[in-house]
Amino acid sequence: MAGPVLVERLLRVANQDQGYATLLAPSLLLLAAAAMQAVAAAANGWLLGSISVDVVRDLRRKLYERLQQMPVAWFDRTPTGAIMTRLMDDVAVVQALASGQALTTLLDVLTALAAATWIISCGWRLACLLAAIVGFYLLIFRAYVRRIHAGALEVRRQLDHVFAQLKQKIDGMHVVRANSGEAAEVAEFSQQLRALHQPRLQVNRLGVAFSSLSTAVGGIGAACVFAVGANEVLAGRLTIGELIAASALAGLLFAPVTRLSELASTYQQAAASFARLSEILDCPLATPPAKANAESAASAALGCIEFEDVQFRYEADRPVLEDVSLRIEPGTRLAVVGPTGSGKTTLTNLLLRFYEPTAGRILLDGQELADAPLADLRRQIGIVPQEPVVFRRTLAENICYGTPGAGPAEIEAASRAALVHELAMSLPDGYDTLVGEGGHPLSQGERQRITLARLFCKNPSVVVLDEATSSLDPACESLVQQALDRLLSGRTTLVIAHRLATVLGADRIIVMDQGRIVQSGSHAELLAQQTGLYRRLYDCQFGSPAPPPSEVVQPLPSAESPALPPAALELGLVSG
Amino acid sequence: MIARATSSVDHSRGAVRRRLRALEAAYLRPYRRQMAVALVAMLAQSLVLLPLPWLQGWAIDWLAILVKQQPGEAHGSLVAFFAVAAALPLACLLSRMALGWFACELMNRISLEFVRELTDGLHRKLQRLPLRFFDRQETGDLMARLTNDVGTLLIFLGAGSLQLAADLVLAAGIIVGLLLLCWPLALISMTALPLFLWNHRRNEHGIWRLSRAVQEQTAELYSTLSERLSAIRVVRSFGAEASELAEFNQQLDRQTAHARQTVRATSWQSFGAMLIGGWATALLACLAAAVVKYGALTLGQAVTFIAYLGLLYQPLVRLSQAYGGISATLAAVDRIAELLDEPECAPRRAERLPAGVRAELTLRDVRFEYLPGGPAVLEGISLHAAPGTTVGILGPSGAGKSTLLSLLPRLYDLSEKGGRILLDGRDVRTLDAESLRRNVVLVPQQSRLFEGTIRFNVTYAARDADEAAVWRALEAVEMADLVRSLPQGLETRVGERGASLSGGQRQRLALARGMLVCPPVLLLDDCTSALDAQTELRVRKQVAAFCSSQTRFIVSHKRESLVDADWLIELDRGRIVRQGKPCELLAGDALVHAA
Repeated sequence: MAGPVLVERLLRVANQDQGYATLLAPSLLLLAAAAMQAVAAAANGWLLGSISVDVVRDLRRKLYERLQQMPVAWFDRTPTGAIMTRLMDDVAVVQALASGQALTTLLDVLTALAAATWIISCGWRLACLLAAIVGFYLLIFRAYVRRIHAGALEVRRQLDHVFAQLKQKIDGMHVVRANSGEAAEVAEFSQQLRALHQPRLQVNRLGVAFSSLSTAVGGIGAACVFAVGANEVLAGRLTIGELIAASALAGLLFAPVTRLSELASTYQQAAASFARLSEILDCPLATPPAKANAESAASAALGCIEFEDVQFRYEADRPVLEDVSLRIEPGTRLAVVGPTGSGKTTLTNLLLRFYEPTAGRILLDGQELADAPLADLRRQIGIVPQEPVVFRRTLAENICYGTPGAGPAEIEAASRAALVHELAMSLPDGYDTLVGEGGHPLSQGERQRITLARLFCKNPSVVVLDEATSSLDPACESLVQQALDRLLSGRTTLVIAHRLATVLGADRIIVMDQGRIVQSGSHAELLAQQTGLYRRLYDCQFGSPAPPPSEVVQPLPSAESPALPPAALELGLVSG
Repeated sequence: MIARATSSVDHSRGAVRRRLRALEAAYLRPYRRQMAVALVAMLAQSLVLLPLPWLQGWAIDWLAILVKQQPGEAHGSLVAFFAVAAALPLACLLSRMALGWFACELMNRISLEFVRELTDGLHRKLQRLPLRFFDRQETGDLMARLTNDVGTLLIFLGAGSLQLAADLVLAAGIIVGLLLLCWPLALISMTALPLFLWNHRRNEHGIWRLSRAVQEQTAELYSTLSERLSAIRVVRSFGAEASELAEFNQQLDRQTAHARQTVRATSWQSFGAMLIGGWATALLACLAAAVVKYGALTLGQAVTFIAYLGLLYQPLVRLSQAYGGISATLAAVDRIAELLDEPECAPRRAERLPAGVRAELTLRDVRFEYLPGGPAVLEGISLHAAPGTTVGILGPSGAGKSTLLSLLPRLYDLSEKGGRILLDGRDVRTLDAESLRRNVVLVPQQSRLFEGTIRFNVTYAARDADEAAVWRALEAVEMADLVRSLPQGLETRVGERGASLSGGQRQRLALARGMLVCPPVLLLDDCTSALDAQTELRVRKQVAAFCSSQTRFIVSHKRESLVDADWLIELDRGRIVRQGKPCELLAGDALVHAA
């Protein structure tokens, strides 16, 4: 702002018939102004840049925090890739807005206002001219911003697809390869990129048109100011020096107009992204916070679990669980068997409050789950899921996941119990070997043992095993089973089994079919019900083909015997 | 591995430049002519701006003369004056707008198309990379390369870079104009140029290093998100939300710290450039004023000179301000090029399998390790499977069962000294991978489904399968009733990874997917472990009936699943420890263990 005025003064002085010394003061002023301008601009850039970096960090932090509280059902619906694009790319778009442009433009606008005031003070003709130009600009502005916003939303939507596709197909590259899906994948991805290309091109086209028109308006404005100003000079209402300053100021006035139009484009795109972020930020939380009077249970739970008329459905017309009532006494082991899809895993999902029951209630030690703080509940319950998950961390960190306080001794003890210790010793860096994505390759059985070790390390009072040993070979399984038996003694346990082998140590067995409990009792009782589902399941696994006679005539082994294959183990128990 | 072993990869600026050239050759060359047109338009757009200061200076001088004349004395010259002072600049500005619009539009189209081609190319590359590569990679990092790094490139490639290039060319032209106006002043103005260069050199290296770090840490954020969001249930069930947050925040803080440093470094650089430009302009303005006073320049000429000076310094200042972006772009190019440089699976003399594969499989002394020079996962495996037979594979976890199966369809390639795998007497390494995998289908242990409908998932490997075949496959895995009961039937969406299905249902769909191809060789990698006994037994029989005369390899932990096999092998630590007919092997089992 000061620059053109100072240059004008300098040149006016130069044009007067005085000594060179008169040039000194304006020259020094000009130098000082240039230095101040550089300092101000750099400080401005630094400050705003830092702010925008912080805004991004805070926004991502807030979003991630929010994600940790989102209902599991939301994650079931939303592809991981689409969540990633929100946290990374949508936030980056918002950053583009925050990265100084906004404030710089605000300063620009202030400069422009000052410049406008100066020009308006030069007479009503110039003032009218300014008003006309600004009005014209506003018309263009209105015409474009809305369309840019709509286009930006479409771009982001298409990006969701691209991200989701990348995420799941890179994760599942084994499946793609095993099924020769490469060509189809390439075609599908290209198709998605094409779908993204059109709206993107459209948004850019609109942005270019908008900023080109705005620049033109600005340039024309400056030229008009000069022409009208010249007329004023001729009419004697302005001096030449004032004209030079006026036209320089007109440049200052209209330059921001271009920037403003670019900002408007950025703003519209950021607004589209921000709307998508709000979907996460404003989504209702997974669970209402626990009631205020709920005391945080520091001590271990007794582990009495009750389901009272629990009903659950993912979709309104498809019940997954119907009128399930059951009670698990503290320290006892309940096994759940039933055909696939009968609702076994859903039971555990409700117990861990991944979902809330649609009707009925679930109690732990007589307290309704919904009343207790979620963190406390999950601290009490340990689960080994069907599909073992190993994170990209060291082996030790994987084992003490969820038990950050565990020391090396505890980790090793847990590993020994889950037969991971030997594996750890065979790895290049022992417990410090990086495993998981990109880490040391592990077999499915090894992953399963690691998740078991995680359970041992956590040492919860209620244990849920969702077919936790299905990928283990029989020898290994019975060893792990022994360790589990030790861990589980005195703890409430819910075992989900697809194989009868895993259920025989249970105190009670419930049989589920199509979301209902159809049978309940001990192994012997259930087996005695000739027409029951349990009997059918059992016959199917052990009735045909008949086990080799050699096993049947084996002397009755002790229940802990690791040596026998599970089939023999069970037969022994039954006959005993 | 491309992400972590930063020490082994050359990140020097020379190497980056080489990669940049390679990338340009592969993806930008087709657009060279169009880009030249855009640049010329941009240059022309800047050129039409050049007469403006001169016109203005001239107009002011003229105005000074006009003012001294008596009003009404020279009406004609007044008209001429306004023509010059208003109409000519207007014409310049309008043509500038048109040219700029055209150039930006063109450049936008080029850059978007370039980005589309590049992303597509990277994805193709991914599909050609060996599976080995993915074992060492994090999904998130790869995603970051395909989206974030390419996006950085896009931001740079837009019209901004073109404008900058055009302005720099223009700056060279302006030097000529300055020399013509007043050569001593022009020469003095040139002394600022080495200063600009010095300022750039001083900061360049630091900014480049920081950009690379920021780009890499952003990729780490992608990785964390990719892994943790996929396993949200595990995080929840261990109540690990707080520690996840803490870890993510730590990563964010690391990235933010580097980003802040980048901001500081670029601010310093831009401060230097602005100071140099500002003081040079101010000094020259003073000198010009002195020269005006001396009488060697008119007032108008001085105005012109100062305006041109701005056009000379501005692009240099802007270049240094944009250097943060340029540096980020170079870092992105580097990461993209790393991916493109990864060695692909060698095609060798690929031979397509003829129709009518007999499906005789022979393994001769197979040895395999995941990492070259690493521990052998399989060793000395020799095996023969006659057409139509079923081979059962037993063994403790980590014995190499899954690895053995994945070698057959060449998901991993044997090394030269790793023995041979023959299909109908032909080394699988000489066979075209795609045609091999249409004949040797693996149903993997982890039943991974993709987001999409049930139909999409079942027909994934056989996209042209007819409705009847799909239902037959679903019948065989006993999913038909369930699917029929769904309101949308086959068109029901299963959610990412089949989230809306139970483990057993996922496994059955994955099995149906493999069966539907009806390949001569079917490999089942413990893929019914989540089924209950009753279903499993029936499914097993129905799979056998679905495609007769199929050679099958079945991995299972349940011995009862393998009693129907024609031959059993037991693996331990990568070696075959026992083999034989199931009745011999399984009968002896109890005795061996009990002993």
